[in-house]
Amino acid sequence: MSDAEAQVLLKTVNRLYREGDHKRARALLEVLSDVYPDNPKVWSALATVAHDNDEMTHFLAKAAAAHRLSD
Amino acid sequence: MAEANEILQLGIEAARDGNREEARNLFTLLTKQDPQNIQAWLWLAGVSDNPKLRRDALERAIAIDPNNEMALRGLRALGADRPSIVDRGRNAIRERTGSLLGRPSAANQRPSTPVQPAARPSRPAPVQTQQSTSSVMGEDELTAEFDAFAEEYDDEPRGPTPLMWGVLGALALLLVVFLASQFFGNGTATMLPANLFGATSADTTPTADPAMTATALATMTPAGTPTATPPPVMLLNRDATLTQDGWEYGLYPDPNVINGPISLAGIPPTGTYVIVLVTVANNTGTSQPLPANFLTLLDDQGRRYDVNVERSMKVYDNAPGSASDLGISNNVEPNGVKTSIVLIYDVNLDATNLRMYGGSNLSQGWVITDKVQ
Repeated sequence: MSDAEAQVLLKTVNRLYREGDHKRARALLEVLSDVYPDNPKVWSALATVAHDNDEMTHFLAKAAAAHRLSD
Repeated sequence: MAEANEILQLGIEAARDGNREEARNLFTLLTKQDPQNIQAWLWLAGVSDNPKLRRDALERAIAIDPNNEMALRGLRALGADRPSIVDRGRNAIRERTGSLLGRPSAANQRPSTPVQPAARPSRPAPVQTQQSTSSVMGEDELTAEFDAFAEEYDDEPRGPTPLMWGVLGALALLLVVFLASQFFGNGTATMLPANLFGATSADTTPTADPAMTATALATMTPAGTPTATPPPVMLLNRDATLTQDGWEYGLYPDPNVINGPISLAGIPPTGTYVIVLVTVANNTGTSQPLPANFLTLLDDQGRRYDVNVERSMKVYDNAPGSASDLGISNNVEPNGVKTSIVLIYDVNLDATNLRMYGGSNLSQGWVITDKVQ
């Protein structure tokens, strides 16, 4: 599966979130972050569903690091 | 692991809804995350349009479990020759032997390869023997055992079976096993039947596809598992509706279930609140509320949950017309128009396979959620 396919799954995450299924949106993001740890979009999306500020900071830091890697 | 189960279920729902591309992406993701996830491989095979990809996925499943009936059947249906299946099994056994004898296995050398020591849970007696004598069992003995299995396979009558017949045969077997488990109470009603049967009150024809077939066997509860309550005769698809006592009822289209630590006016639940959005149509001829105990939940532990009327109304009153068209205590006009109603249940935290039934009809219902936390 390519990053392009990860992008497709991020759309699934969006759909789940819009439908109020936050639990599965987050579950999908967590699996995506396992498989695509270098994809900054996955970490950014995780930051939007973080449970608290610490978690959000952690995810954003991961996103920033992944973004630097992708440059 | 919990996440993987969520994604598996999500993929199953996508497959059931006909969204095979999304299902493929989800199952592929799972196999990337955990190459040993046999259910993900089986489902991936089921939703693959490309025969080569389907075969590859089934062979990966065989590599994980050489005796997996569903994968063997699927490969046979694809016209796989016996040697290719046997070789897969042999390779898996060699991997197992290698690790038993302390030799580095190919799986260790190539971490991305899903081949692992062969586990053979589907053959109870040989498995016990293997496990108890594994330290003294050599490669030849294990291979011989596999050959015995291969001979059994050879003895099975086979002809030039087209793909369609294979799929239909698997379906028939699945139906027999499922119905037997339902009638004899030997199997628990998991969320699986809801996936298997796209039934409505008017149409109870099973609408399984190969993916459904594969996972059905992969996830079926072993026969003989006691259940606290007799499982229902049939679990319905989410868009199915039923009629009883003048009420037509069903689940509201997704999302219709929310559970978790919800705070309702600061009143904590005994267990956890489960919110179910339903649709009802009043054909009784009388303007009246839906009877409060009409739609009940049952769990695998045999517990029954009635609607918590007070808290259901709190949710509705918080934003009338927003959460649902009506509250549980509001009159539903007898015009036959589908009307949504939000229902709150206070469910025990350990509840599993929560199902909803209407009126006295316990033979048909819907799976609400497989677990509440």
